[in-house]
Amino acid sequence: MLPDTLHKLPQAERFAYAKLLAFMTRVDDELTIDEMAMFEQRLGTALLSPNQRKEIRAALKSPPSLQECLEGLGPEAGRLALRDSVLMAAADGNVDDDERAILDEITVHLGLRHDAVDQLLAWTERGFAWMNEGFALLNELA
Amino acid sequence: MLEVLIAVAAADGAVVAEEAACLEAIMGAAMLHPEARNALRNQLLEPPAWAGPLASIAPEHHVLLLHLAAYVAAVDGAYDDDEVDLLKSMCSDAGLEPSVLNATFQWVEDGLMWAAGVGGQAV
Repeated sequence: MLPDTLHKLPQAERFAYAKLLAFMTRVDDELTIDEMAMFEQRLGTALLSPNQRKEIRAALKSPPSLQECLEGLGPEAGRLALRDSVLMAAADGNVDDDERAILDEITVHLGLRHDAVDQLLAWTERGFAWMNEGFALLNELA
Repeated sequence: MLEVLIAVAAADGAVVAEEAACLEAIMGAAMLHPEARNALRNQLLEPPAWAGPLASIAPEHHVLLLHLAAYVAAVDGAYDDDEVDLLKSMCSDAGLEPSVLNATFQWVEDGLMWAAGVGGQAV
């Protein structure tokens, strides 16, 4: 759960954002349950229409090209999509070379700083530590 | 669990976009069936009371529920008095110590600070 500005973006941009995340799920040809849960979580935040959700779920089976996904993204949607692509890629505990290459390609397309992915990975690590604190708290009280 | 969270989101009289997005994210993470999500969305218009659904949740999940409830309450930027009162009542009804709620508030605050740590300007 990330409180952010995603839901404030125009619907077309939220759709483009979700399409990029659908693309990311297929990069390493393996969709783990953790990645799927993260994808569904972000899809929920995007507040898409039921028909758009159907389209996005269809894109999970046959993803559009990266270029097509990037075309509809404005600057803010692009940054949020990159951030959440990093989160999704890291959701199974490992960002493999194929995923990293795509993340770097998105960074270049968006014209972001060259260390953007590294910064986002560091941020993601801090976030996973925070989530683990929550689990630890639950376990302490069990 | 989602019924309780809907009641929390509606505690201050309105479900704002941030809370709706948060609820959708939780439904997504829980990978609920689309029909179940629709049924829950309908409850946003007429939020359920929280006590009944809470009683049906196993005690070992009460702290998790409290975490999620506090997160939903905070996601629009601030805890409303009605939301805090509701969280205190939930904590008490679930038989949890007030210290659990304080730890939950701290955990939520840490999470919100983490999430805010990467603004659009950061990259």
